Amino acid sequence: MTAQASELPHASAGATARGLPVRVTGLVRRFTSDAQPPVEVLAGIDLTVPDSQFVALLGPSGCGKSTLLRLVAGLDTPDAGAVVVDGQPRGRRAHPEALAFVFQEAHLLPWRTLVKNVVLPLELRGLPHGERTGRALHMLERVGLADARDRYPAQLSGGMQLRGSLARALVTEPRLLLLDEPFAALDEITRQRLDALIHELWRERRFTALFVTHSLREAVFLAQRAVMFSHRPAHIVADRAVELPTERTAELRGLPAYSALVDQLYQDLLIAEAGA
Amino acid sequence: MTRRRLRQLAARIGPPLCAAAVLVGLWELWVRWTDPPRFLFCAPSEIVRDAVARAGELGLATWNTTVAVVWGFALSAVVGVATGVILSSSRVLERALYPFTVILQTVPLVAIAPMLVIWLHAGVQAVLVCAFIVSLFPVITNTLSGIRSIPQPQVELFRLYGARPWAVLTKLKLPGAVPSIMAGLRIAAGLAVIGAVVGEFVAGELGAQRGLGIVVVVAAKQGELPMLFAAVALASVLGIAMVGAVNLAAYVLMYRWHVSERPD
Repeated sequence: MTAQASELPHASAGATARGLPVRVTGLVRRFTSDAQPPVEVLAGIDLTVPDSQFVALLGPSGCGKSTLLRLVAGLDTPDAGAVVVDGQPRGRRAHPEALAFVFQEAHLLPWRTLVKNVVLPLELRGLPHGERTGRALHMLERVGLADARDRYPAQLSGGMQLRGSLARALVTEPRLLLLDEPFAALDEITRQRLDALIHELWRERRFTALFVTHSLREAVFLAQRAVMFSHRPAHIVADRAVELPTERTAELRGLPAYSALVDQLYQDLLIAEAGA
Repeated sequence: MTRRRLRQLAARIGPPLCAAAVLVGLWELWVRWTDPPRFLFCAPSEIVRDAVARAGELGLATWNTTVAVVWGFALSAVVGVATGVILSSSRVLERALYPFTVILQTVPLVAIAPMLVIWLHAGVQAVLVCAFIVSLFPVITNTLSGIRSIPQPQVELFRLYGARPWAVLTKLKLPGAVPSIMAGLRIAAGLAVIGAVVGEFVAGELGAQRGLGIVVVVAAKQGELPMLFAAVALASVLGIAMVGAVNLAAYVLMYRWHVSERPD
């Protein structure tokens, strides 16, 4: 446990630590069931993400974007191909020190208060009590939930719960952050606020981010690069650089360049939907 | 206790007490009017009179049964949760052993109780084991389904952070299954009383120490209807107390976070 804990970048080092590069080669994943023929979900995906890049993964529903994310996280094993994070091939064991995952729903543990939920990853890695609570409180402050620290998840709104899960993911100072449609269920205003928060945190910490979303606007607002997947078996139909200022603010949504990129991705999505 | 808390308490226990008073009142009136033969029926007042006259005997019987019920229930809580945890750890193990746990539910206790008395001798231990056997299944099955119902992402979260099996058990599986385990214990608490009384029925004839079940058997044989009713009433009170204790534990464990215990 101590060996693992020492591998964690410390709060001070976190600001300067860069994200991890990710390389995916020839990734294939099929799902087999008893009755039906195997369904191929990913048909040989190649994707190289340099360190600290923010990449949006887009595509029709059920096309396999989430599967790709789970393979990168090590929560699932590929049938062929490889996932290489920071030069290290991913094995079956799924606890790289520097990786964090944000699920579609917050999935805070309902019997723990907010601060105890945020502390959990540090607790599982055996950090001393005083240090981990300090870091959790700092993270809660960062997502604007310091006042709600002793509340239980049932007493929090959906947006607050998601901010809590974001704090839980970031408390370990991850260098690779995987987000699986985290804000799909939120209203537009809350969603935009959370996007702004993620953007700020990314600018601060420079983790590599793979962000699965259905919202083209969200993708353009957040990402430096947008990758469009086809229907299953998924392959990449478009891979576009999002050439907008590095700092993203609400005004960005009014720029012609922003709308043009959203339109372009919309065209890509039509092609992807058509199965071309 | 504040005035508000008192009022809440009165609102909680007032209605069932009133319902009981009305029923007992009607019963008393009906017996006085129709005056049935005393080996067939007796009035509440006669039950109370006999119960007070033989309070020492009934008190001791209640105490003996309570000891067997509490130990049998505690044993089934510990063994049941542990078995549920073990079965939940592997599908193969569950498939191999779960069908046999169903036997616990279906076995006629009256048929095996004599064997238990022979194996364990006719003391509190035989009665305790009867209470244990009858109350075990709901604990196992509810623990198992509680653990199985923990959302997959929560399990994966623990996996991502490299949690050890012990941490997964104590920080995820057990707390996550608490609502379900409590539902199982609530059923088990009532069943433990039935198991103990049935166990005493059988053990009594072989000379066990006197519990409520033995009071029932003896009173029935000697035609002492008031004593029989008094013993049954005391067994009911014991059952209510057991379920009440589980409810209290469930409230203490869950009122902060679970919908089922949210104050209305």
